[in-house]
Amino acid sequence: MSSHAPQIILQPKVSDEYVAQLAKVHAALMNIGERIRRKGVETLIVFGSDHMETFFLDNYPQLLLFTGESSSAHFGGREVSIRNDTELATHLLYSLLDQGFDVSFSQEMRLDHPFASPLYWVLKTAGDIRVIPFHVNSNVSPRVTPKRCYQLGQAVRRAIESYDGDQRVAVYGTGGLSHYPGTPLYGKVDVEADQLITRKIVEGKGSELANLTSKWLDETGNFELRTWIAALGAVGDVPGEILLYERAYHIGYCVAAVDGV
Amino acid sequence: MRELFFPELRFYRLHKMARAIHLDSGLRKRFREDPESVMNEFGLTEEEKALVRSKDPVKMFNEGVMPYAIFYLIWEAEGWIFLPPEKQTLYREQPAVGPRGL
Repeated sequence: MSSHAPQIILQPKVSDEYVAQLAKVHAALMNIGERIRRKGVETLIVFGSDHMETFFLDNYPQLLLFTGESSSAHFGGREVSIRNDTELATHLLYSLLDQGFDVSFSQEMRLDHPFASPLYWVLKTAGDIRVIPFHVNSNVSPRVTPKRCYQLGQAVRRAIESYDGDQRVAVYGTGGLSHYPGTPLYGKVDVEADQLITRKIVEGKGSELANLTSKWLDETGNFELRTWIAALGAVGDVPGEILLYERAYHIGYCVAAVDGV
Repeated sequence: MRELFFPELRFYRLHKMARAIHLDSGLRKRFREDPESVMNEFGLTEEEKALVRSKDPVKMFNEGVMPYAIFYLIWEAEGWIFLPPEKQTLYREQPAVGPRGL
């Protein structure tokens, strides 16, 4: 799980302190990639939330699985390409529908910064893995509830467990932590709220984050935690590790890892 | 005001233009040079045009423009994202009130 701010790729040199903070974020993301490679992960399911970039208000999905062959993001002068695990993605789609999650799908879609920002760095060190992008709406209201996101993660786990294939699968949530883009609060970072979240992850109490309300997530700038909650639903309540927390001028950058069981 | 991130229907054209400017660097350049013609292409209402002309993110937010559209129009199109932190942030910590005389 990690932040996905566009600045992770854009790298605006707004201050020496910020340049140093971004270098730490990049290193932590590449550390995640190394862990993925060491564990022999072959397929990474990435829960990310569109920001009216890939999708628009002509047709806005709450939950959408990418089931096409490949996709890419062109962003900030960089390109990030992924190859999908189409068989597992299609199995996920069927299994989730059977389990009562009416997930939309797309066979052709561009990716944007919620996927590209962290993956640009993670994929440098992760080896040759397949990536299944999974949009969980956190940024265009009305949005999926945090509790439902957790249940979605649990259903994704059941779907993986019922799959015939033997590939090793990891899940990833992108977004957050506290930030207030495009609002009069831009520049505020609710560090206390972020500490509450990181403490729960370290203690292996991710399921308690499912009880946070949408209102609390908005008030603390943590609305994108939905994607982390989905990932935590899939891995279950096992103690995690915070690889990085940096209070930057516009966001609480965080990179975290949980070894699922 | 409605829930944070609710896309008010009356700003549909503005939201559509803001997204297009975010995704298309050529359009972004044209918008910076001639915002009126781009606003006309996207059929913005007079209310929407006035908000875009204001270049005031707080005013846009208070009127109900979607925060990401504001981010695309101000932080990106106006280049705020590359300014020093104190010039591109809007929130200011309230100074702690100390005992009198300190």
